[in-house]
Amino acid sequence: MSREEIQKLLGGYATDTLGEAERRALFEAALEDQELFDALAKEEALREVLQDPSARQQLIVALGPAREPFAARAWRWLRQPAALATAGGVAALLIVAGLVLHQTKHAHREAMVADAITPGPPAPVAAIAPSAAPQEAKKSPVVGRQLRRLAPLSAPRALAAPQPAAQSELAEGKLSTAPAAPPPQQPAPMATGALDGPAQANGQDVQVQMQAQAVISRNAALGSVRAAKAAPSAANLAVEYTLLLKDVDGVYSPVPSGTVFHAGDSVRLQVAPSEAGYIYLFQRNASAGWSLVASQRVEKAQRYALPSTGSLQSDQPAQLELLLVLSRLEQTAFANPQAADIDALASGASSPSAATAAPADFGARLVDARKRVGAPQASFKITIEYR
Amino acid sequence: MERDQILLKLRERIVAFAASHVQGDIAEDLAQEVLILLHEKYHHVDRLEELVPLSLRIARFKIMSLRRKSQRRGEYTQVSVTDIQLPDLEADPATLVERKLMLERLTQAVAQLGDRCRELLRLKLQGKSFGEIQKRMGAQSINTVYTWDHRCRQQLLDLMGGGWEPEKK
Repeated sequence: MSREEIQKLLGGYATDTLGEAERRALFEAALEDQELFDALAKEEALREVLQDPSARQQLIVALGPAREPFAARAWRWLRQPAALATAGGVAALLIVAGLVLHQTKHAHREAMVADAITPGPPAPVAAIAPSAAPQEAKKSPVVGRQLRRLAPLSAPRALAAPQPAAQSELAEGKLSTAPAAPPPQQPAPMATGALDGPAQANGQDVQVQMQAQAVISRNAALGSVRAAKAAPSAANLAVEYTLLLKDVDGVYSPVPSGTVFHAGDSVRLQVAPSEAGYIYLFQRNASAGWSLVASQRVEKAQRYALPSTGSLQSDQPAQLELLLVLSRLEQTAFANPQAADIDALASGASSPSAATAAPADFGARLVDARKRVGAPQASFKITIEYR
Repeated sequence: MERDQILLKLRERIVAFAASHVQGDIAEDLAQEVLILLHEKYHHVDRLEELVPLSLRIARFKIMSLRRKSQRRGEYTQVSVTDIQLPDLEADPATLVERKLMLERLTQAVAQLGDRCRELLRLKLQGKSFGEIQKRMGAQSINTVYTWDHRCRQQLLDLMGGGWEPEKK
């Protein structure tokens, strides 16, 4: 032991803490070192006091209760109600903070994906041959990155089956169906095919919106590398409608769906299209076939009464068959419709049985039953019962 | 080390130590008295571990006695060293009072020590060895305990004014 280490043994002399070897080392050093010997001699006073057991006990009492080991102290502290409450509160706070952080990160990542891949109006792709798609994808790292980012989103197969909730969101204009509604005369081309289908609703507006945007963006991204049919929009066409009955004051008021009308009742159709475009109302006459009752330009989610002048009426008990056509493009041929064409539209029309949940102030909501996302037009058959 | 060698070194150390407390010639006499006592009364003690503390205790006793005599205006200063009675090393009333006062000072001082020093001193007073203290306090090595004890001793000395006993005039 060095001199410094031996000097540290001094504290153990008065309390008789030293072992045999420690005592020998200390005393041998003291015989050779006067300073250490003097220090040892001064300790003698303390040693005399501490050799009295009662004096030791008095000092032990003065030192206070023994300190527990760290683990025991920690456990005892944790068992206190206040400590338990504090620890529980902190734990709950950490859990909530973790969840919030996780959700924030998740939402931020989704938003970044949507922002990153949402392009401007898709470029026309007519000049690009379908076979060039893989090569283009390889050449363009941006496109490749877009595709990779899109990969975790809804698979095309999952998008194939439209969900009413999602359609409702789309038709009501809650969802961003960018690119913006295109001019009817010059619809923006976009890809369809494997990506056809509405956004799959999952009950969360944000997620539906993200998926819808992702579908649109994905269509747009792929539109530059895949040859596809031109389509003006990615959403299913839909129309909300209700029947208006003219009262004695000449005012048209909504009536519940399924209302049975009496001969002579004047009826109008109030519609609100899901997309801007043109709407056409045909009425079937038993003898003359389909005739155009009303047609006009319509804006998305705006309400229109059809016909705007006059009314639908039957002077005898009958079934009044109506055909409502919503088209993104103006159909000049409807001015003089060919019976076969209208019959074809009627045969493929969606009927109220295919209606989905409608707003409270609407009688019904009709969605293109053929589930053709981006179809240029959709037809809906409505029957009014007169008794 | 043989007993004679030990006693020889002890005499040298005791003379030097006593010289710092009493006059030079008295210091020589005091050391001689200690050795006489060790020779006549404790001749059976020959181990270093016993001789050193015993000689320290006798020397302290002698010094205290000399101080008391000098305080009594030299009443016994004319007495030859050889006439001084051998001490029985039992505490007289004055020594008991001094110990009691020192214990009170100690009691006040230890209460002001930090947690670690209090725990260390408690274990020492309970008779634990440094090895046991190391395990009990979770120290990495025995040298760590030595260092803790050295610092705590110094802290306690400071709290008591720099020495275990008050400065004597």
